[in-house]
Amino acid sequence: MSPRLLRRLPPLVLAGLFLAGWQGLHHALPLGRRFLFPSLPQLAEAFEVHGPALLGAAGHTALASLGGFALAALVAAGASLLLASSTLVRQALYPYLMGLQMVPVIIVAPILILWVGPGAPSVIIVTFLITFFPLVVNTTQGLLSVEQAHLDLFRMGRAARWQELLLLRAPAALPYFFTGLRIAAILAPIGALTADYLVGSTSGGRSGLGITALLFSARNEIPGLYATAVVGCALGFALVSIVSGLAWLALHRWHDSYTPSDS
Amino acid sequence: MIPPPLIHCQALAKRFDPAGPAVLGPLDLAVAPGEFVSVLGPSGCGKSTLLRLISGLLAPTSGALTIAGRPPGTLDDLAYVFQDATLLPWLRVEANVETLLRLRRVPATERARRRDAALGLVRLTEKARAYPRQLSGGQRMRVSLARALALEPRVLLLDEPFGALDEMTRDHLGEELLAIRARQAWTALFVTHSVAEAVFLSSRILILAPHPGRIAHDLAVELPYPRNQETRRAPDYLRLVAEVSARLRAVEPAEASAA
Repeated sequence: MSPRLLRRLPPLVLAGLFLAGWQGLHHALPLGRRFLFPSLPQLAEAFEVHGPALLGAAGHTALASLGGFALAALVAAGASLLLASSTLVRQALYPYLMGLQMVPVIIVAPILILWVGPGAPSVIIVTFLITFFPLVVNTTQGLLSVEQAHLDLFRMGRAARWQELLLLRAPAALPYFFTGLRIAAILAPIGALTADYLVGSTSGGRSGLGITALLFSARNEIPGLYATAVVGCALGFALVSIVSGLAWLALHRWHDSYTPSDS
Repeated sequence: MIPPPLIHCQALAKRFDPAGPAVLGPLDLAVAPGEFVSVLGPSGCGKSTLLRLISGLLAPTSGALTIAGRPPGTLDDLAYVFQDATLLPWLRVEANVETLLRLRRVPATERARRRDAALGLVRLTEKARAYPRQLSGGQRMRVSLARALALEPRVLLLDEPFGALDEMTRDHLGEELLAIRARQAWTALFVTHSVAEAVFLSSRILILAPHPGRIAHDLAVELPYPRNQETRRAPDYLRLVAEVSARLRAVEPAEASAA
């Protein structure tokens, strides 16, 4: 067996065990309660019946989470540069940034509906609010965590402030930025789903996974609810994979978190 | 006629705590162009402080200091080699060597020329495309040296540059440094803990004494250049190493009560 195949084997075995366990659990429940935990065939059926609707909803939620995520990454990068530029700015702004994270979405939601109206823009704003904080905190930390020796080098080289920021602090902060990005990638689909639930558009064909879950729940379609959860999970995995790929591209050649290849 | 000193300190003093004792000085020192001056002394004698004052990283508390007649921190052809290689891990060797030139807005073609020349001097041309983590400790230090040499410096300040390396590599780099000096004329101020290294490299040795840092001995090293492996076995060399060691021991504080 090739070593590559051998490496893929454990997760595959685990997946088999998981599915078998799932099916077993369904049958272990008393008959009257089995509807709470659908069997695999029931789940497959739910996918078949609701497939197109789920796919459409997943598309909307994916777009909204990507939108909120990208917006948060962009604004966080800019805000971090600002925050790292002076202690005064940092001390002044930090409490408000924390406040931004602390405002409960459930309170923001009705306000957003009044201001922006239900739909994608509101969903993107909520996703932004949820993913922004870990990004800005990590990136700022990275911009400030520069080795003193490197700062001395740049001072010796009589670097301008912008040169120090762009040529030294920004690349040094990349690993921290990607740590924030990973956390944000996990939060974004959850955020977008929750946001859709709270401020999503209910008009036909434009709702995301949150509204879909709401409808399934209202109609007591338990397998459909499970199917929605699976799709939500898949979205999260997809986004995390994209971020991991980007991190690899940016860091694997020089950062210690990637073992050097024998090139 | 005596040439004007390149590095000129007059009653130079530094104290970090305004109410506390002086870390360094008042100290007078004149270094002529072309000298290779090693600075020896026990920990806390202000060796690194002296270097940082000359580089402009620190501002003196009192006294006068000029390099080529100008205030510190205003020279384009003064280079500093740190104790660690301080390479930027995200840049390839070639880009690391160019870093200081880039900060000075040197045009790309001129940057490439100086980078290639400097990498040639430290014999690392074939590693130009490597990342720092792919290099050994000695190679990293040579890249760090190349980065300083790319400035085509008039003054080279070296703060224990080989301190973290094993003795073999250290001896080797010392010989290389002298070989480079034969091709690129700069004036060096070299801080070290190794008496043998100081004698081997320098034309002049300063022994500093602590509390406050001051020049206790100022010795000329009259061994002919070029120096090589043979030099290390020469009686004059061995006699000088013994003499400098004895003088260094004499300025070391006898009791370690301060520690």
